[in-house]
Amino acid sequence: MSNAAWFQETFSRIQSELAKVIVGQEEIVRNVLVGLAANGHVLLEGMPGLGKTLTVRSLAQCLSLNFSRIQFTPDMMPADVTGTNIFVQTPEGGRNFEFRHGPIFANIVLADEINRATPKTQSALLEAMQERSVTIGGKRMQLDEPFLVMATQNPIEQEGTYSLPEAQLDRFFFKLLVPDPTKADLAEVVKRTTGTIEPQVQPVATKEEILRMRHVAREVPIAESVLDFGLNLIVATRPNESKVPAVQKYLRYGSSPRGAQCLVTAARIFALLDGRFNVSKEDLKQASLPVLRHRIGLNFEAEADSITQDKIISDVILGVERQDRDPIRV
Amino acid sequence: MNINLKPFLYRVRLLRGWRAFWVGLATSGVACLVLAGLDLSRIVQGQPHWFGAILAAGALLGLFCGLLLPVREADVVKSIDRRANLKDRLTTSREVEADSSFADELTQDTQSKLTTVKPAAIFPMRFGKFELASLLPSVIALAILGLSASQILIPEEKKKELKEVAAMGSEIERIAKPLTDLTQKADAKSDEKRLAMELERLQELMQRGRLDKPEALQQTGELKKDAEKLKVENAKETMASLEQAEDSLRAMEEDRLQQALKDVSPERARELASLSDKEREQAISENQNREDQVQAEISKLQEQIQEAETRLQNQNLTEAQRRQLESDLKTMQEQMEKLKAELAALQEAMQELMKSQEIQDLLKKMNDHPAMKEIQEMMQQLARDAQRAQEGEPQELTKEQIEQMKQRVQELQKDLEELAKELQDPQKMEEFMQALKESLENMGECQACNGLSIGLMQMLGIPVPMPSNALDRMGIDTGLVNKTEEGTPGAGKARPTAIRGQRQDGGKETFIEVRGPTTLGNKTSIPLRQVLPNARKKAENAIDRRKIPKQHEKRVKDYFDSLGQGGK
Repeated sequence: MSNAAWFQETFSRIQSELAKVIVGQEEIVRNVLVGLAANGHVLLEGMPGLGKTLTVRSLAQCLSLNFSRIQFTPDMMPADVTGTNIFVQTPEGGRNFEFRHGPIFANIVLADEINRATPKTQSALLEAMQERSVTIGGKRMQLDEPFLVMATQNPIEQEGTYSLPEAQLDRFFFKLLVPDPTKADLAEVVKRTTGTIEPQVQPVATKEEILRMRHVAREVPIAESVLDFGLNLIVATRPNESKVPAVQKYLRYGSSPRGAQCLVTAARIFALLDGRFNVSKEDLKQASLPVLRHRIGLNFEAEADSITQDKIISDVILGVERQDRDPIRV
Repeated sequence: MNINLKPFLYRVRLLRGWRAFWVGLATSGVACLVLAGLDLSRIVQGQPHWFGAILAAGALLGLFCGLLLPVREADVVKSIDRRANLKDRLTTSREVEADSSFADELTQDTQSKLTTVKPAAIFPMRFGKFELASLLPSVIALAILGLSASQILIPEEKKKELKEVAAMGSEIERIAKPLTDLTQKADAKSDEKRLAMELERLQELMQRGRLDKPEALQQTGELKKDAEKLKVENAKETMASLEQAEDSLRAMEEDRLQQALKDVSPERARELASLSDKEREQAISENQNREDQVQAEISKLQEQIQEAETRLQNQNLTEAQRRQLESDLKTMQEQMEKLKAELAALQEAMQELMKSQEIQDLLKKMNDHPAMKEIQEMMQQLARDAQRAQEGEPQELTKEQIEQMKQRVQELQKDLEELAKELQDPQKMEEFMQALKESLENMGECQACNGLSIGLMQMLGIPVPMPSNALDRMGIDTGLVNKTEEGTPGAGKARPTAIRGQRQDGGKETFIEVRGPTTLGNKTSIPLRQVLPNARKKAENAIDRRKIPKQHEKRVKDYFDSLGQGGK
């Protein structure tokens, strides 16, 4: 079996297993798995009770990975996330400092309601997310691979929350908006969760397979012109360089270079999932919304006009597509 | 990557040609539209075939540019990806390195997808909005042209008027034909070409109903003036050419004379040349007599000298007698010298006279040569006609006559070649003939302009000018102007119309008698002495053949007699 076929097969295997417990939300599940395959963290935004936590936990279960959940609250301290050295008495009667691992030391970390934590605590995640390591008391500790942070936040409750700083947001590979389930999905959810039989997720993939998936995804080739298209999407989000009127009017800042990296990586995976061996512009467009929506900053005018990031990104895609014309005009 | 893109490249090239064809057509259509606008506003006279040519040229130029301009393979690849929805497979396949993980799979995938793609399907040859829009300028231009030509929107009365104008246009085409034929020649004059072009333009404008009647008449009038001006200029040039021919002839004679009498001063040569036959004979006779006398005197003097010399040998002579005798002998010898000198001079003069006689004979032979005579008659006719043209009178020579003259001159030239050899001056003869031919050419042009001018005048309803009567022209009232043969005033106007045919006896005719300078005035280009013998002979023949009415015979004789006495 070729790498690409294996990738697709593994991906669909995990997806199918998750579908046993997650009703609807196929897009969210798929994108979460893309984030996993891309070695990227995912920010899930949605109302409570939409299955965000269940999704993450189920994912950990079907991958046979360590899972930990951190419920962020305003009084939470960084040490509550990373762990801390505690003073312990050894059996021999001696006294010593012993490091007690925080919940960050897991393969899949669910950072629930991340925006409830203070910036100080939020920033405790920064190093872990980017460097895959934690430094405590001058000692740097490497996190186990694969390491995936799945953060959730509630878009409605703003009281007592702290918006994530741009640097923090930029470290998330995807930001996924969890939609309300349809009536049919809702009926299925009710049936499954109120009956006597509770579906169980079985491990269907190993840690090694996840790491291999990451490797395979990075080998998907991308043509210069396609890459150029992707970079045009990124550049078009910069208010001072963009030719898209909505960007000039409603954005404070555009995507960072990390956005470009994430865009191309995600597009590679989308290409493989589509059964192709090359990245297309369609893949880039498909990746644009989850990759860029948290990387662009709306200004006050946009807030006033109820303009969303998704709307701006759609305009950006249209603008870039308009410039990308067929070179043969016949 | 080994993917055959040639069918796609050919297809793109073909489509580019197709597209460029329409672009070219649209561009040329816009040009036609501008032309049609200019044509409608009468700034430019557009021809239907111009429109066709412009459109065809534009379309073909576009087609060739489209077919020949290079096509970038990279562009075609991107376009195939886009049009065949290959999701950038082809573009990536061309760039991916052979040793990369997905290279083989990608190539296979691309090839399998590409096999289902037909070049004609993704690059279809359409006839859509763009093509229709490209046609639009051409259609509008042709519609404008058609509308302006159809006269649909013109009221009935105006149409009738335009019909008349169109008829006038056809008439102009007819009467301008001789001139337009002339301008086809390489050496046609620029003014003639310009006039012919103006005529052509006017004719087209009229035939296409682009001019209303007053405008048409006004423009016709202006062209008529031009035609007349050109006619006069041509007439002047004819005269100049004739004068040049005459000068060449005269120079030929003078050269020959000078050559024959090279030891004689030019004054003497001219004096000898001007001698009449009678004077020459008389001079020769007188010279002979004197020569005989001098000869006799010399003989007699020689005897006397011999006798004196014999006597001098006698010993019995006294000194005084001897001296006397010697003195006489000396005187006689001196006299002898003088007589010998006189004899030599007489002999020389005699020789000159004989030579001049010889030259005169040669020149006479030239002037009496039938070809030369015929040519000189032609020159007279041309000069007369040119003078008439200059004075605004209708010409007598027709186009056919001038053509006949040209042919005749060609024929006569061969006859004159022998004569030119005898005169030992073929170059001058050539110059003479050349000038004559030029005058004929000029006269042909003059005649064409004259015909045009008369035609235009008739079209405009202007009366064709009559020859100004002799009284006006000469300022002399002979008392015989416009009188009948009986001397009663003539009815009607005298028209300078050449009528061919045999005059019958009986009936009355109007005639004009003018006594005064010739119509050519100072411009007479042929000396009377050359013309007179021939003219006199012709007049005598006419009287003999009873071509001249009886009552005019005496007048004719008197006229020639008066000329024979030096003219009045």
